[in-house]
Amino acid sequence: MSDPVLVTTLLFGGLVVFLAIGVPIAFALGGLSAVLIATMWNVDGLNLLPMRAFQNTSSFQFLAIPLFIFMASVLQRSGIAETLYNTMQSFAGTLRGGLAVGTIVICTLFAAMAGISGAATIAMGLLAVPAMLERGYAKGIALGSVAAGGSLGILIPPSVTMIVYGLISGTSIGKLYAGGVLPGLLIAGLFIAYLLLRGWLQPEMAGGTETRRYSWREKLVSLKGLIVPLGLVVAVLGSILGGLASVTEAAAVGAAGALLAAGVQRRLGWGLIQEVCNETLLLSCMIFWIIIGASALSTFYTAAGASRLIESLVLGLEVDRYVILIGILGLLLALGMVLDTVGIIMITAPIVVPIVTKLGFDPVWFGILFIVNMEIGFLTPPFGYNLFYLRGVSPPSVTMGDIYKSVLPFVMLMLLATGIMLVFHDIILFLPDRLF
Amino acid sequence: GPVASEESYHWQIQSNLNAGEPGYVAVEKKFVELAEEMSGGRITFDLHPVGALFPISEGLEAVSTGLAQMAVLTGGYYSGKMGPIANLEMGVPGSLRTPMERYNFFYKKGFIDLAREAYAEQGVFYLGPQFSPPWDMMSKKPITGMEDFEGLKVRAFGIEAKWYEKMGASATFLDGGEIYSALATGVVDAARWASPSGNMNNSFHEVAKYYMQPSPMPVPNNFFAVNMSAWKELPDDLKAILEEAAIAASFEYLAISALEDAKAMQDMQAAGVEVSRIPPEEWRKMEAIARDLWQDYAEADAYAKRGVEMLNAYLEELGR
Amino acid sequence: MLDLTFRWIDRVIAGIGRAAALLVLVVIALVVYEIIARGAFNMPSSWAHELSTWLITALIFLGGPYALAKDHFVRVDIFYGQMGSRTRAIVDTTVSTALFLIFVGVLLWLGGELALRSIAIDERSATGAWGGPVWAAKSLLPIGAVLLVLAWLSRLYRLWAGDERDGGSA
Ligand code: NA
Ligand code: NA
Repeated sequence: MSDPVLVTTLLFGGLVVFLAIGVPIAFALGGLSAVLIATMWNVDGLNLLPMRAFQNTSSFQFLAIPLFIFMASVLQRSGIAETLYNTMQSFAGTLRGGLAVGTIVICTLFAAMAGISGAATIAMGLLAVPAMLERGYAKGIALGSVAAGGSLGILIPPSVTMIVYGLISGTSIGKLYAGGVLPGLLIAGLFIAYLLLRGWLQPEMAGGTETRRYSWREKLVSLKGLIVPLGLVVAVLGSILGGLASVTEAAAVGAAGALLAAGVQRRLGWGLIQEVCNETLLLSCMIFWIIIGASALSTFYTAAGASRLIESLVLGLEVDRYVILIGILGLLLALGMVLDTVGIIMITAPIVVPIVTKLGFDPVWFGILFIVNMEIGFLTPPFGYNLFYLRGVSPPSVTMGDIYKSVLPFVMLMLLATGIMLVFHDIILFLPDRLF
Repeated sequence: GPVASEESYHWQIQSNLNAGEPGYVAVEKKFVELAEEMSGGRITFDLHPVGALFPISEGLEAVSTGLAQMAVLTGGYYSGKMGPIANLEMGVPGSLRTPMERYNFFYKKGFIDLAREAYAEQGVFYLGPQFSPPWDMMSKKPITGMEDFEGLKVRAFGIEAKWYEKMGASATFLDGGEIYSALATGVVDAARWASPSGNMNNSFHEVAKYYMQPSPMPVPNNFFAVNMSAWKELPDDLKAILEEAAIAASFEYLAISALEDAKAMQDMQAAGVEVSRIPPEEWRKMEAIARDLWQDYAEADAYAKRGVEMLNAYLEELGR
Repeated sequence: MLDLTFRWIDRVIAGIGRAAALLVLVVIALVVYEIIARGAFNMPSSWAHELSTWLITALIFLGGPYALAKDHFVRVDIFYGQMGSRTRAIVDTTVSTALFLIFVGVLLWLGGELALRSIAIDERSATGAWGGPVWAAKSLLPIGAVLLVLAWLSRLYRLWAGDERDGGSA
């Protein structure tokens, strides 16, 4: 096959150009892969496109995507989400940034309920973005907190990404699961601290300058807005932890539970169900068609010998082991800008994990840093799943530029978290060392 | 076929395993590198890990269309395309017990010719089996006899699922990526997966503390599939090299696994895993149930009928 | 005449999409059924999981054209958003159409061959005991590709006709 450097240039360059001029993302990915496969590999290689298309749409784990979208859509359209944000408002009435903090908390809970990313981002995009925009939050804060909070899904267990990583790198999945918990909380904590700071410095961007204090009576009454959302969290998490449902199946518990709750509150009609189904279809199609194109592009890049290129970049470096490590993390960040997670793991993990282990770093510790890097990849342009998902659910007034700008501070915070974990290994290793 | 020439060939191969796993290393060392060396570089390969080029469930399609010239595939995935001959090719429970029996069945009793006939219909040249270490069962409760299958929730599929169900279990199919969490929370009580090193690589010992012996699938195999026209293009000497390299890779896999499995078994036991053993007389009864199930394959089609007859004839020769 | 044809195409695509959208209700029911059958009665089915994934396949391939007609295939709009409607129409008619046709054309051509081979051998599922018809699920690929092409042509037509109507909201 062709020279991997040439392939890399064409792939990165083509993607940037096509995305920049506004080609629909799915077609940019799919069309570019087809062209590259046919010209730089062979025409028979094109068979991977329909195979990847069928594999992705019929993947059981991806079933969680439409199911969680459905759940979120029911909650949003039945007004349950509105009530939830009213409750949060009544408690955080004088706290600027309070709703964004609440959003991060919900995202963290969502991360514990879902094994894949995307489900949380798009569900929270449906629920939280309109609620925050309505209540005087600036686009940057509303969008950024959802995009970033949604990326926690692969770091906080359960996590399909960790399972893929664990298998390919031969790392204990239990230890990775345990290792992701504290870093997940650390990152969520950094987000919260940042949002409170923003709210304090720029109240006009975080809920407005006019504050209203709610009486204790109002607060107590509003608490009933928590019943349904909390009930759903308990049902979904309970069905997983109780061994009743597999992680994917639990998404159906959430969807059915939302339907039931809306029905009991008499907020459900055939018209609303149809609207919810329609919205689920439109958003699921947007996601799946991007996934199809992205997996085709990653497959091509793998077949084109990407791992040989990575190997030549990282092997034989005779410098300080932390320099090598940071170099590897930088490489992962660069790949995260254009490729999807599974593709990056397949291309890099078999090469970099043995190197890192040989340098004396703990494989679980590195595994979590790797996963955090993948999380950042969801947020970095030009190709960032969470950015696109959010664009798909946001009102027309939100542009891709708004979304790119909104995630920047959160990306910095995740880099900061990476730095903290580079210094304090125990943030990752405390739980795995004690549990296993 | 064409005579030896100086023409050179470059093939893409996808393994059925992740890079670094014993079966992958065996293909790398004793198929790819050996064939490259024996051919003086006239045939070379790019070896890819499982899923890198195509999902294994579409393996026959991928090889027959030329997406990859070659792949290591697992027959069980294709029984829906070509009937139970694919299961007989992969190995059925309650039949052969040792790799040598399996080798003789393929190469001395002529089962490989039947496999080649059947796979040729799918546009694939069946180069040969790659014998695998056992596919074992790990569980959350000890399994020491048939009665322990009563009410057991097992992750399994195909003929094995039917076998466990006959003994009172309920069988569920879960994607590979869901098994760990499903065992952890108790969605399933047991899962049939790989040999000790493969099971340990999946971290199953963290969530399922019992290791059933004997193995329900003591001598399964994957196989080397080659695109039919790519095969026909090869000169005879390269064909012979690839056929022998396939056998070498088979035994290399068994050899590396034996080393790694012994170590993994001790590591898992150190981590609290216990072996639960089914006594021989009980195991024979269980095997008889499995044997009844695959006898029924003979009704399905001509290939399966011939396969069952060959297997029965060989078992008779072995005195079983 | 052309206008009528495209209106009619939009209506068919919207009809198919809206029908496909209801499949998600069936999927929820199937998965909940499976959880209860296994958890309460220890009787897992061999078909609920696989059937669910095929229904989602139907949702994506039959609903995709509807989503495309309603302009739900997101793009990076940093520059696109600044362009005039004529420039946008030019981008969509040239580069986007080329990439679209290559991508969807491959899905139609090779996905069609994949489906035809599957139909020819009556391909069945191998993972569960039920032996469900894989060929039916694979057939959705070329059908979806044809509908996508129609949806895209209709979109281009509307772009140049200066028709701002939201596709297929019949
Ligand atoms: Na998670
Ligand atoms: Na990215």
